Amino acid sequence: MDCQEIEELAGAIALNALSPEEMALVREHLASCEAHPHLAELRAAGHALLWMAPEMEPPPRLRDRLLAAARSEAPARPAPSLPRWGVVSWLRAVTPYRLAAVLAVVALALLGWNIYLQRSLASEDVSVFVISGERAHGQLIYLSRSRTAVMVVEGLQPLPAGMAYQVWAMRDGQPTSVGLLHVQEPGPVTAAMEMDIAGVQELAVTVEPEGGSTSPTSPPVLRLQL
Amino acid sequence: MAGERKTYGDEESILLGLRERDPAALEALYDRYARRAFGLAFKVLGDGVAAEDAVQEAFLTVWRQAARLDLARGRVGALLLTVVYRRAIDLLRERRGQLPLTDNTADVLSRPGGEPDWASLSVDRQAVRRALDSLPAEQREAIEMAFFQGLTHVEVAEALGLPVGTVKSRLRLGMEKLRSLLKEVE
Repeated sequence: MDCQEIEELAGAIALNALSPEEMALVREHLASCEAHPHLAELRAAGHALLWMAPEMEPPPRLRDRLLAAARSEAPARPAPSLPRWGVVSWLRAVTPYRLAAVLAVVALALLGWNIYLQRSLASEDVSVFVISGERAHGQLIYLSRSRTAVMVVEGLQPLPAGMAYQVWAMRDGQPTSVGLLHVQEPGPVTAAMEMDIAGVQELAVTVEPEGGSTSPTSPPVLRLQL
Repeated sequence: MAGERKTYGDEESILLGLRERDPAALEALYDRYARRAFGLAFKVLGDGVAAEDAVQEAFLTVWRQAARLDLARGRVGALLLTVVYRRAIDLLRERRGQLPLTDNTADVLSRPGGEPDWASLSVDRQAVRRALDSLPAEQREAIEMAFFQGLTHVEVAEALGLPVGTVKSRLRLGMEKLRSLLKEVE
């Protein structure tokens, strides 16, 4: 895609009204071309449209339902020594689509968040690792500047009560717990975590008692070479 | 006597409360933004039940991620609405059997300090409404279809029975006009 095509698409770019394929071409062009600074302003004008829908009173049950859900999550996590996994919850329902599409949405939704956190991701470096095991497979997307990893795994079976998957970072054969992975139903699981992969040769997932162990107590069900 | 329950009068204290995982802070956030979030979700989805789900998920997302948020004042609303919007568009496209749209130009488009903050509360919404209303009808139609129906420019062209090039230029001219009108307001 050349500069003229980008300019012709400026309105569609501002409104995110592009197919994923077109978006990839636009992105490729913009990553190396400084000639379109006004696109950021057009995009901001697109964001202003968020405020255009008329206000509407939601049903009172929504407030009750939301607060009940939040209260049930409010207490501190049971194992404070383990970093918390934040499930990227609004992506859960995307599962009917191909895994690749899910991955893209996951990664980019996260990028979207980071726009709000940092305003600029020009220097963000995205790495994708393939996770493959006998029972499960997926991908790990790592954003090195944000030190954030997004993991999408398919095939991990729900565990009996009292058990959880635990993820370990292996540095020179020494495991460090990265967090717990709760699989409530079969199907792809998406989780995000803050971690630094510097010096990590491998990630491993084991089945452990709920709350996690201090070191792995079972053979890995999944391994990922970094 | 005052109880232990904290009150949250402004957005800054709401954010602090969210980071401490105080449900009362979420309650305050909800009371502040629920009508706008629900209005947006309903406008996209046209269905109250699905809109409720999108709104609930957006608030829970902010609730869960609050510890990681470092938002300037006035941006929580914009973030919430963005999450509601994306969720609603995903649901809509999924319902229509279309692939989700990805939004991956944000990083390459953002130059530090270069982007005006028109998504924040500081913008007079009436002014944005007036700006949109003052666009030529065919430009406004294309913009609203792309934005609120989650259609790509090619899909808008198909829906309107127009050549793709026509829709491309309507979107471009309309967004450029909208931008210059918003600049005047600023």
